[in-house]
Amino acid sequence: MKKLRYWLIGLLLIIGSLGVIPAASAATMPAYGNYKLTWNIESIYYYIDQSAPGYSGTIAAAANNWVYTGLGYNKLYPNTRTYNKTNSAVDFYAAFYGNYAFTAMTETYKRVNGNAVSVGWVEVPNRTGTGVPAENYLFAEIHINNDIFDGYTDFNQRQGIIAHEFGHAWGLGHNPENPNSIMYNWDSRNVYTIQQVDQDAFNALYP
Amino acid sequence: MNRIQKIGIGCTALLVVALLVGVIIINYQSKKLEGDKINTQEFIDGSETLDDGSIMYEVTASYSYPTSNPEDLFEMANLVVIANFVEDVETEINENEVPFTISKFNVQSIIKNTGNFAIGEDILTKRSGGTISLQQLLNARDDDFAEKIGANDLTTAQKSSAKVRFKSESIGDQSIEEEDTRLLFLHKAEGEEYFTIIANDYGMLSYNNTTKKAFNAKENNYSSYSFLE
Repeated sequence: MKKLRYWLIGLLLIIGSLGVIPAASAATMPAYGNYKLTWNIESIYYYIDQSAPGYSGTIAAAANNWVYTGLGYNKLYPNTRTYNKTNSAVDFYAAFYGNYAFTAMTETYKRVNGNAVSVGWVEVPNRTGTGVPAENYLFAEIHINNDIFDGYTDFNQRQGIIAHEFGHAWGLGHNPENPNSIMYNWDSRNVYTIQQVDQDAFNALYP
Repeated sequence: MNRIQKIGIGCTALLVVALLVGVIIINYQSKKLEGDKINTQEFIDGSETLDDGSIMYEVTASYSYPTSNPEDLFEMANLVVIANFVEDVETEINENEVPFTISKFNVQSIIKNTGNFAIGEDILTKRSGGTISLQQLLNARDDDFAEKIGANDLTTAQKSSAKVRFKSESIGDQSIEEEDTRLLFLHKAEGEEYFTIIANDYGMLSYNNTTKKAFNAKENNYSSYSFLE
């Protein structure tokens, strides 16, 4: 009887340890979307247009935000600046769109060949304002609205907004129900760094 | 070493092996992608051929706003109206910017007018997005952009005839058509020619004249708002 008890305990421990693998995998949550950037995510470069030179420090901080999350393995490396737009996966622009337009926005493009030139975001019916890419894409443009963006004086918030747009460039949609995610829709999000849920979604997109 | 200790050591060893296997599996999956670019020549034909034979491409952008709460938009606006959509007048794009569309709305009622505007039958509004020709887009970007999207492979005729629709992020079923009634949150500063629709789609909510309710993007239904009473 004692022998049987010991073996039962051992068996329970083995079953429990096997549960660690799926538990670890479950920490990588399902992605917000199924489509992504076709550039090699391990060698990403961004370009800053002459309209946005003043934001280079903020953009660099936001890029580092994604590379050095402190949340474990992240395939995104490096995420550095290039001065050659043909080598960049993300292009930054800035303009004055007025105080009542958007803060920043991201568009995604793929190559023309007499067929679809750009990708569209599809609606996710149960999650308003989320949007996910409808197909893979080659590069993204991020447009900053100087009028609203310059009104934010907190550097952490500013780089958090850019980090949010980088998330769209990777293929992540919005997270309207979670203000503790960098992908929360609005500038009033509670966090300015990549959170576990964001990292998990990124890693699910780029396993 | 007694039996319990042996079992304990055995189970611990198994646990360590299981964890190592898990780590190896996760790392292997992470390293699957290789190469600089994943087959950029692959295309999914998501274009649409219009009645005139031109090809329509679509770009949908994802926007960030300070807020999209209707109560906040009401406070920000210096004109709030209920109006019926008439038509899109024109879409333009400036160098290195996103396109914008001028639209005409027929005003049904004025909810707020702190700007003291003289409002006639129709007003002209401005919002991000709209449809332009591929050539217009290329003119607003540089040669590197054209090279990246492969536009240099197209003929002049193809570039002129192809259209690009910049669609703003849709919230619920808000595709606009002629006679659609909308609750518009607008702002116009001195010297500006058009009323800006604040926060794009969030600032032009679908409105139900019978129930006196406007579309609630968060709840994905129609809601009453205090400023509509």
